[in-house]
Parts: sequence; structure tokens; C-alpha cells
Amino acid sequence: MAHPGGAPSIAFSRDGTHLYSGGYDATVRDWDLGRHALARTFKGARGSIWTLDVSPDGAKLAAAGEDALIRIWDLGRSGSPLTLNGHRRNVWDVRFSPDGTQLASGSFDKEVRLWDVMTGKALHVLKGHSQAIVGLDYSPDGKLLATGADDSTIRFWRASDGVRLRVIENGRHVDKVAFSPDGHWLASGGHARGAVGTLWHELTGDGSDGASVRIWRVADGALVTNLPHPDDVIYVAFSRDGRSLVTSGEDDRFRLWRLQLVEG
Amino acid sequence: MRLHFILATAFALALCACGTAGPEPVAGGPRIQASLAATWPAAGPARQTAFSRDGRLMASSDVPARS
Repeated sequence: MAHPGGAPSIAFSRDGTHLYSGGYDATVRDWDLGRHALARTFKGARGSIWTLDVSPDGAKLAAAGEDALIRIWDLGRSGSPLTLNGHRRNVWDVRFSPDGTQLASGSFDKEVRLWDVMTGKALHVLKGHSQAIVGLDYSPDGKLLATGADDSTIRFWRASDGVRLRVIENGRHVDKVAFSPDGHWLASGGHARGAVGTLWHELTGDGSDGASVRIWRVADGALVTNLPHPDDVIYVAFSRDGRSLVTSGEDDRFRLWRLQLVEG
Repeated sequence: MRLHFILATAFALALCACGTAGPEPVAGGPRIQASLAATWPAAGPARQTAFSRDGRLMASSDVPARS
């Protein structure tokens, strides 16, 4: 399925029969996997779509990106999306809460916002990151929100009221965070360089220290595993059974890791 | 003098290119061990992966290869 210009974001429908892709062409495309065909196209955004998420009940699709707006479509009917307006810069990540009532968004404007999905009102604005928030995820029980940012920290917040609970110094920029299905672990991916380092990397190909994927113990914030990766890591995702982790990045490869619990 | 400036600038850029060390993994308590099981190529810089809710399907996306 070719999304013109490339698709930085994808999400499955709840029943697995459709795949949504968000593209550099400012559209969200709905692909029918049974027919291998484009079913419909969502338009209206004025820039690249960086992030997508489908609500837990499968009824809503959220998309956001370059134009700083978050759009939520009701997949059961046609019509205009609910538009969430508040961020001032690119929105890098959105995620529905496990109960589907809340949506979290992280932005280049250094803010995390928690939204009421029904009304579109901002419930809480979470401040503290000093640079762009690139990745976020809810714990499976919905009690915690983890955010990762260009300020090289991972932060845990209480999802109900946005109170900050823990700050982890990661030592490198964080591009994605993901809770394991049991909620005990958090995986993070990122890169070790700032803007100057990125320029140096582009010029020389040098600058990766080979350990950009990390797994953290949620209970105490301890780092438990470093996974070697030859280049910047863009995305990390646990499999549904929690036994595998898939990572992807700038070395143009996907990696599948088998995970094993070790009791201390 | 000019050579010194160029060398100093290059040295500063090299320093900026390096990340800080960050934390070290802990030895005690429950933890996760990981082993690489498979790799596969993307058409360009690999972007996102997504799993279907039943866990049977995985999708991946990439962007056009750099010219």
C-alpha cells in the first residue's frame, strides 16, 4: 500500500481489517486489508500527519501533525472531525487513554495536553519538559502517562490530574516510549545528538554510540536493559503478548527482539 | 590563526556530536533480557510499526529513501 510521499504514521482498526496511514501529503488514508485497496481518504490537515491512534472501542480515529491541530473522526459516520485546538507547534504524538475518554498529545511547544474526547476541551496542560515532546504512552491500566522528549528525560505523570510523578534522566533525546502490555516495563528509543550533532552525523555518518533502545522498570524507574542499535531509533513497540519488541530507525531496518523476564 | 579557529570549531562540533553517557542498567531485581530474533529492511528510513489487536498482524511504514 503506497501512501504518496511516505507514511510516518500507521494504526490498525480495532478488528484488524483496516489500516490507517498518515502521510506527508496531509491526508489520512483508510486501507481495506481484505481487498488491498484504498477505502477512503480523510482530508483537511494542512501539513504532514505525524501520529495516528484508534480509540479502544474502535469508533474514533485521531490524527495530528504539522498544523498543530488534532482531528478526531467518528469512523461510523461521515462528516467533519472534532478539532482540538491548543498546541502552538507540531504535534508529534497522540494516544487515547485505555478507557477511551481521554486523549494525550505531545508537541514541539514543550507541552503535553490531556483532552476530553467527547467535548474536545483541554482538561490539563502538563508542563516541565524543556524541549519538544516526541513520544508518549498510557500505561495499560490508564493510571500513568509516560512522555519522552528532546530534553533527554522521560517523565511519568498521573493521568487523572496531570501531576508529575517521576523524572528519568535518559542521557539522550527520546523519540518514542511504549509501555509493555502488563504495564511493568517501559521501552524507549531515541538518539544521542542535538541539532549540531545531527548535522555532524549527516556529514560524517558518525555519532551513534550503538545503544539507543532502553527498557525501564516502571515500579522504580530503573534501567534494566540496553539494546544495541547501530543508528538513531525512531519507534519502539511491544507485541500484544509482551514477548517481543520491534524497533525501527535511521539504519533503514526493523528489528525484532525476543524478551525474557529474569527474576532478580 | 585561521587554522586554529577551524580546528577549534571542528573539535567543538565533535564534542557536541557526542551524547552523555546516561544511566547504567541495574543488576538487581526483576529485569528483562532481550535477544535479537530477526531484522528486515525498509525501503528508506524505517518509521512506525503497529500490531493488530489480536496480535496476528504487524504493519510497518517507511519514508522514501534519501537521495
